[in-house]
Amino acid sequence: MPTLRGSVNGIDSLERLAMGKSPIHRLHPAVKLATTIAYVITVLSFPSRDVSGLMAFIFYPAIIMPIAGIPYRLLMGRLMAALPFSLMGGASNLFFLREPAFVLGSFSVTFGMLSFVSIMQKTLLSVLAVLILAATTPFADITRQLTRLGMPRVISLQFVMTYRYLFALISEAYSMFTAYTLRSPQTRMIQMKDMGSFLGQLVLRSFDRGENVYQAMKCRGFQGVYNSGARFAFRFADAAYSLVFLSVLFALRFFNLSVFLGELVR
Amino acid sequence: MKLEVVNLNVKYDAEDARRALRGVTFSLSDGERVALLGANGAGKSTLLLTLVGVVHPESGEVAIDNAITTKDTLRHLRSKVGMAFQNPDDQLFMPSLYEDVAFGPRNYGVSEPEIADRANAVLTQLGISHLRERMTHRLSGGEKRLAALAGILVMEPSVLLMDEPTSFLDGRSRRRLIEILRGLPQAMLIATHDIALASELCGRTILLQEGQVRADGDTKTILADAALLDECGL
Repeated sequence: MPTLRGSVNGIDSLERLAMGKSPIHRLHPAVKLATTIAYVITVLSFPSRDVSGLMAFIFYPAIIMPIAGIPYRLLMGRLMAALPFSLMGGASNLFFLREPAFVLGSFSVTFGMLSFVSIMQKTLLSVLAVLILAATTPFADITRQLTRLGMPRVISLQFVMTYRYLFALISEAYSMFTAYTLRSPQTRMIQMKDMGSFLGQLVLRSFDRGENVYQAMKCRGFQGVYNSGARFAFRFADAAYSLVFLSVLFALRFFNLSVFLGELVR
Repeated sequence: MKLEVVNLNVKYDAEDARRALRGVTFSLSDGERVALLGANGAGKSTLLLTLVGVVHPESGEVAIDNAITTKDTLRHLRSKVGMAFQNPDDQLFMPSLYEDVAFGPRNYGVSEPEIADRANAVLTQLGISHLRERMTHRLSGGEKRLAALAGILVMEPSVLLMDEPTSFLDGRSRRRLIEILRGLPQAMLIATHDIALASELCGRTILLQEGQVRADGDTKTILADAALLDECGL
């Protein structure tokens, strides 16, 4: 349970970062959302063994993170959470694709290894891009832009509310857990025999809280549609950023910078 | 603005013979501050929720300026009567304080510049303008209470209904809230167990017992009647 609370505090620290005032934070949320989507699609569009082509895409986190003032340690910790999935997805390639692709000194590099590394690159770069978006754009602004892009308002409202009440629910669960452990000092976790009533209570409390929230919303004129105020104007900086970003993305997709630099050195 | 409640009866369960409210009748004049006292389960919260149309009465009427509230006029009623819930966490559901304060006016189609003006004025009035961009779940208990109040005041209501406004507050926050409420021009109906708050803030008290109005009159007179208070579980 304390770990769960730690994870929620982690989300919280991302949200606090998103309130920053750097030039990246000040960009229009729609620009950040669109460029992130473009970046992820471009990274995922690379052939499964194109390790060198993907290397240059590190430019995005390497440039944006210092400008936005995002601590590397914070995002790296969250990035690790995605590793097991790509490891599991990529590891099978090591066993099934054993034909050698090239020889590096006395070491034979197989197609499976290239494929494995490429899957890891794609996962890490994509997750990093999404984390950068989350660390530079408040969650409400992201959902607002998703609504503008055509996501139904009722779904964006669900996102906003779920995100907000995640904290309230965890806080509720944590209080219940503390009360439980104080009355059963010999145990560190909830015993299976008590789990049913613990979860049942949590569901009932959540239901109760949901009911109260809905009543409070109705009292302030809510009629099923969340009206978000559009508070952002599209500025010259947004246009310039989009143009430069998409140009670099396009260039890197069709021009292998790693190979070019390798040729220069040789 | 005058709020009138006539012979209000509320029953939560059709099968259950007991009523949560029984024949409640009273009126609230412009700017008047009234304390609603009663033991747990006396019907205080039910009465407040009925006044804003969240709980539907079995019979009886709620009228604003002599216009009886119906299902079709509920929206108008809620723009005039603001309700602060007992637990401010129930009321603060938007990510930042500003977004939460803007929630109500946006639902009523108020323009963004006007929302910004109103929000700034209310946040300054309550002394929490520095928390404007703060995430609502990161606020302290006292700040949450003021934030919830800001979300209501920004709608410029004529009547404030408050359910246990001083619960969860420490001494200093409680004092601050009382001072703020004292300075507000709105009529107020304050459901509370805090007898000191009632005597300090409200000239009139309505005492509820088992869903019925047991006494309605001068606060000092009612609070001086120890036998009556004891009988009503206070």
